[in-house]
Amino acid sequence: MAVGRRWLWAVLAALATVAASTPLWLTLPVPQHTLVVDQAQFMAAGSTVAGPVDLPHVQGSHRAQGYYRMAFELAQAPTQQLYLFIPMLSYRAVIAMDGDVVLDTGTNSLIPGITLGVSALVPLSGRHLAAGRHVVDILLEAPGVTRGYLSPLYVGTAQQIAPYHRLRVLVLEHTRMMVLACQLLLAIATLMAWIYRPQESLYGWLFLLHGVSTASYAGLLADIVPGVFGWLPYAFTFSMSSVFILHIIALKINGTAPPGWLRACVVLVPGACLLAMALGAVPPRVLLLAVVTPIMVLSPLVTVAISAWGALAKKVQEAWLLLLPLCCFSLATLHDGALIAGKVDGPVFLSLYYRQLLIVAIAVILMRRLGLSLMRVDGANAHLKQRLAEREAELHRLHEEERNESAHRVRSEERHRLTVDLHDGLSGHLASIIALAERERSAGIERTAREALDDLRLVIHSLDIGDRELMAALSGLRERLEPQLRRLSVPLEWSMVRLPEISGVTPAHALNVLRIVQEAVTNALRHGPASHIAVRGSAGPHGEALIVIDNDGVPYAGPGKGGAGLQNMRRRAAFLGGTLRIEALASGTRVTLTLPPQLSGDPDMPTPAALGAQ
Amino acid sequence: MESASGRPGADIAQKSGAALCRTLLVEDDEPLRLRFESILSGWRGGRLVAACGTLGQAMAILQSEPVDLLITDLRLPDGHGIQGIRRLRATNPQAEAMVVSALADNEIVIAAIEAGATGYLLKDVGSADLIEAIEELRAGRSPISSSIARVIVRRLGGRTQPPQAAAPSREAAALTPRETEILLSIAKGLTYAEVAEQLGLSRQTVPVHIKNIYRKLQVGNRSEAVFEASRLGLIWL
Repeated sequence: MAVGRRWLWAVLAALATVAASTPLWLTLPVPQHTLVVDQAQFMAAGSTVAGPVDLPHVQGSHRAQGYYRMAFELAQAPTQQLYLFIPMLSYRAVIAMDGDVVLDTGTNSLIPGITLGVSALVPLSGRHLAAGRHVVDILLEAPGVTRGYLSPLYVGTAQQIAPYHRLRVLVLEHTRMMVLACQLLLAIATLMAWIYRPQESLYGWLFLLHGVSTASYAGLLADIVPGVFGWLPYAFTFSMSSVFILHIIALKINGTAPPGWLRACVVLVPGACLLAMALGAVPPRVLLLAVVTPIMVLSPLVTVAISAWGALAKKVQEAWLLLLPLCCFSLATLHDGALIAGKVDGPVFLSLYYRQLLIVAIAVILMRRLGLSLMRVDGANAHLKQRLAEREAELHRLHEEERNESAHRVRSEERHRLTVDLHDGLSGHLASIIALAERERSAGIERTAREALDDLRLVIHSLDIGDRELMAALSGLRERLEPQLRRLSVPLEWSMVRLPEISGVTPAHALNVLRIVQEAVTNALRHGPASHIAVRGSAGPHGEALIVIDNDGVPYAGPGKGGAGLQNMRRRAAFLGGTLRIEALASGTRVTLTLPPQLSGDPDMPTPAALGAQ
Repeated sequence: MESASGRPGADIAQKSGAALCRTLLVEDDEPLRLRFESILSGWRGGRLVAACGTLGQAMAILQSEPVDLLITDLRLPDGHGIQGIRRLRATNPQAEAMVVSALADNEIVIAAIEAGATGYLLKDVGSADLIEAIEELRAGRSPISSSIARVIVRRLGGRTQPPQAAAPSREAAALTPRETEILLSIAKGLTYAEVAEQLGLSRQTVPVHIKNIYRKLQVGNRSEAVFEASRLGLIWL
């Protein structure tokens, strides 16, 4: 699984590298099968000597004008409209055909700033399409930083030429605007993020990066502010602080606090350069070429080193996301540096495009952070919810306990009061009667008094029975039956270990169960006459509780003879939601009381009238 | 001693090393007192020192005569049986005390146990059962009913929860795990035989453990006054 993911990431990284490096190795296609003009007579401004040059041609010096004269031959007047196509020129050309000015690119191309390079398309008409020789004159104005550039000229039909022109308009002009739009969008997004989360200074730095970078587009203001081209060196110097900001961002993504001097550089280095320019201490062009450009070209290499350190040494995953775009950006700035130094031909600065790649990478990092934070929040939420549920369950349990406790307390107080009364009076008197009857040898009175005392104990004892305490209730009965049966020399076999715990037991339930068992034992002694009694608890197939009372007396002779005692037992069993079965054994009788695993709610005590006397 | 020496049976018992159990009976209800008196006088292992109807008489006897076994009702016309038990335990720590109760399943029996009683009897106990209960007690075995076990379990539970509140005044030693297990099983409703089987004991050792539990429940060095104040507020018998 993990290996699969690793491969996926590797493939993605490779694809991204290929896609990102495209501008470095891909050249835009040129029209095929058209008339190509790749020879020109070139004359630099101020010079009077013209010489032949091959196109594409790069002018020898910065900020210069040059004149090109080219010619092409039309064997016959064409049937279709023809176009003159210049795929790339920098940065402004005034094009004349047979002495007529047909196009000034300055009027219809956006010049964003110093990153130049446009294409031009001139429709030919009228006498320009006549058969014979035609002369093209181009006045090429070179920008301040790079040198003038003119590519070969192509003459062909719309079909042959238009797609190439449109492609170049897309790449050279529209894409530049898209980059600007993205930059502005991200500037707003990071500003918003910073406003809402000011403690996260990374957002602030990102906003500054985007804001400062926008200065490169100052040339766009040319239509509103005619003199803006004079200010371009200042804008360019101003945007230099972006390279220091980039260091800071890379350090922050590594999780390292940027040093104070680096932060100071953001303001101080461009500030010092601007001051020097403004005071006229150094000519702007010299400063631009000697200080600003080298810093902007070489500084991304430092950023690459910072990110590589974070990715490789500090094992920061996010640093990897920054490292690849930084490498591309760094290559682009090197390319641009070579361009300015005249080591590479071509008018297009690549760093502008790659800055965007960097911005995308940073957006990816931010989104990743957002996603991770949201996941952490979700995790924390789930954890808190679980904690809450646990606490609620705990509270519920405590409440339940408290309720049981208080119910028990009430029961206990009630029992206490009742027991005080009965103990003080009735039970003492009954014990006294038993003693008297024993002395007087009145067996009937003694037995009745004993029964009365036993029944009293049964009632008082059952008052203390709580839920799931049926076994304890039965045990109390056993403790009273044992001496009785011992006196009669009837062994009592008793086992409740296998009796399942049943719930919903109230004192009323307990008393009814005890009375049923007591009655069964009494019947066994009275009518049986049994010499052995067994009381056993067990579990039924559906979790019900079975209490079986066996005796070895006379087998049960069927209903009808049982009388009120059996009626009462059945009624009590029905009240409990259970059943009572009486069956004859080979020698003896079996009484089986079946109780459901959950006794019903809170039944009222059956009235003595309904159940009859014991 | 002197009074016992006149009897031939006592001589035999003394000679054989086991003195007759000098028993004091305290019961205010006359028919019951007479009944217990007649049962006890038929008991060959003991000698009834006196059968009193009031606490005052009993206290006087406890003061003047050695007593090995006190069988006392709890509610007496001039006081409480627990006072007699405490006096007995104070004068003769070896002596045993049993309480007689009509129901024998509630806090008051526990209060008597805390005062030092190790046995209890129902008021309508049969003669054979009474003698057997005494013999068992003398042999180091105490009875327990599931409801008494439940009351004790509840008390112990209540006592262990806020240890700082109750612990200092109570000298009762902690129950062993085995004793706790026995108590819990009986409170649940198991018979001695079932408890013994579950815990791998002999049936006869269960009541021995019970007696030890009772002894541990006995409240030790608490002053009489504090005891009376706290206990008699609760006592109603």
